[in-house]
Amino acid sequence: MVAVPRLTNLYSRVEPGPDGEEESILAIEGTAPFPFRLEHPEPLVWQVRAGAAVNMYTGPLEVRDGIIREVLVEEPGAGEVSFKVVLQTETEVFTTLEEGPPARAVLRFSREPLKKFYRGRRVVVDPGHGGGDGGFRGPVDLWEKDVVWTTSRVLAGELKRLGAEVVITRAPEENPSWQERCAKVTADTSLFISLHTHGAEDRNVRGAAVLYNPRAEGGDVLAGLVLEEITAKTKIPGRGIRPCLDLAVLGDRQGLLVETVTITNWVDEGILRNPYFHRKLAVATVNGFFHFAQKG
Amino acid sequence: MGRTKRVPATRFAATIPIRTHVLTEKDDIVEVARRYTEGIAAPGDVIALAESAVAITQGRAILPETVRPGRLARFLCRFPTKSGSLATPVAMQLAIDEVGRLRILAGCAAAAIGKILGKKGLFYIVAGRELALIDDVAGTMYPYERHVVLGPKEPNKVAKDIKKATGAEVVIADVNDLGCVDIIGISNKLYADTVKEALRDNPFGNEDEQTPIVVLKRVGKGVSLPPGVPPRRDLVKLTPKGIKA
Repeated sequence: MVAVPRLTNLYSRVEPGPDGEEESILAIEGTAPFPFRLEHPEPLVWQVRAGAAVNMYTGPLEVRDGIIREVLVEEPGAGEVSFKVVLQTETEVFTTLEEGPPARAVLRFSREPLKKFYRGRRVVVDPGHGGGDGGFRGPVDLWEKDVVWTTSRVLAGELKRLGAEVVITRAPEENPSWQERCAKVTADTSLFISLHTHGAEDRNVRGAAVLYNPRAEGGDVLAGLVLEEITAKTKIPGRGIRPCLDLAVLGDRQGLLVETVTITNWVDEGILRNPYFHRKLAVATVNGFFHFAQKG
Repeated sequence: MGRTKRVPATRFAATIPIRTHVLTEKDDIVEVARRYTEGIAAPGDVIALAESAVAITQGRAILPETVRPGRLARFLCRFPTKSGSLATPVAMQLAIDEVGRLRILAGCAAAAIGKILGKKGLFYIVAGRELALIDDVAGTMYPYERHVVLGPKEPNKVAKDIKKATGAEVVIADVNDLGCVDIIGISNKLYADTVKEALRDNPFGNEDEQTPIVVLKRVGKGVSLPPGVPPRRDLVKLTPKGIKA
């Protein structure tokens, strides 16, 4: 017989709710139903206080899905556990209780703020290279033109799910000129994102970098936020931000050139084979722009 | 009177993934399993461990810069599937170190014959099943994405040691998101089929779950089955402005 419920797991994911709308969920699992209460002690913070013993690791859970930033776990006393949920933006929350086993207390955060921001926005996504121009090649066999195509499609899918109008600048085997790519940017375009990978002779060099339009106001801030999200979400090291003169043709519109990894590095090339990595990159990019807009 | 044969669980009432810290070679896997499953796993239940987590605690996560691939490794790594685990010189060198040149070469010969006959998997059958457990760089979650992770050593012994410490049955398994479950080590073979079925949807996770230990609870062993009522939703609705009834 299990006398005291024991908490065993903590996770977060984005999944459709019962009404079909995507939600950011945070689930706390235990061996049996456990009492808990929810508090809202300050803006952007929700606190779950649960009465249970703990078997799981109580280190922080970094989420960064656009709504939930992280969860901090504390044990203020025996049989008492506190989960501090730090949000990236204010939103509504519902709770769901599942008796299990495992028993599950689920916090369901609405993703409406993110959707509200992106709904109807035009975003131009540019997969670099293409056709006869493969770009950089990884030490095993991946080509830049192919991996950025994959990332572009995942990013476009993520943006469309949020209601954005997405334009991709090329077909899989096309290689339009830079001018042709930039010509897709219209007066009502909110963001231009050109996706690339870095390449270096030194195979020890790895990581992501974000280049920005020096003529766009706050372009450096935007690049910094996107790079921060990418490094936090994917654990890829950052190689910094810098201005990109090629993007100046966009005038004062926001434009980024994201070097997602350094494909000539063994590890970075291997990571590109993981489909979850492309999704994380997409989520990080989407979140970076959202938080830039929130900061005004 | 004959000895009573222990009957394994025909099904499990619950699959309980347990979130752990990031395991390192400083961890003792027996102690880790005991501590995280204390009060949860009872005799007759099964503690399942992800094989890569066991391997990491055995110091089998290798940084590529500590390996010097030889000519043979550089040559042979050109042939396996590029998305596979032996496509880099470092991983191939570690495979050679694991089983020896002869077995690797015999495996390559078998793979070549298999290619002609249209038969896959002959390399691992001849060279060694343990080589299929090698995760190349980027094959394991952060912070081990820079490492090549080999399969665990003496998995059956580890399983038995954990059983001794916890009283529960133990399996060490390699599971992927495609529903493939490979039992690498087990304390009681009678459990193999039911455990495979229970792990098929990969409760270890393949992304950032950090749940390399999963307890499979038998019916009536301290975990009650759900009463059949749907999850209660909308008990409270909370907004930034406060709580709505």
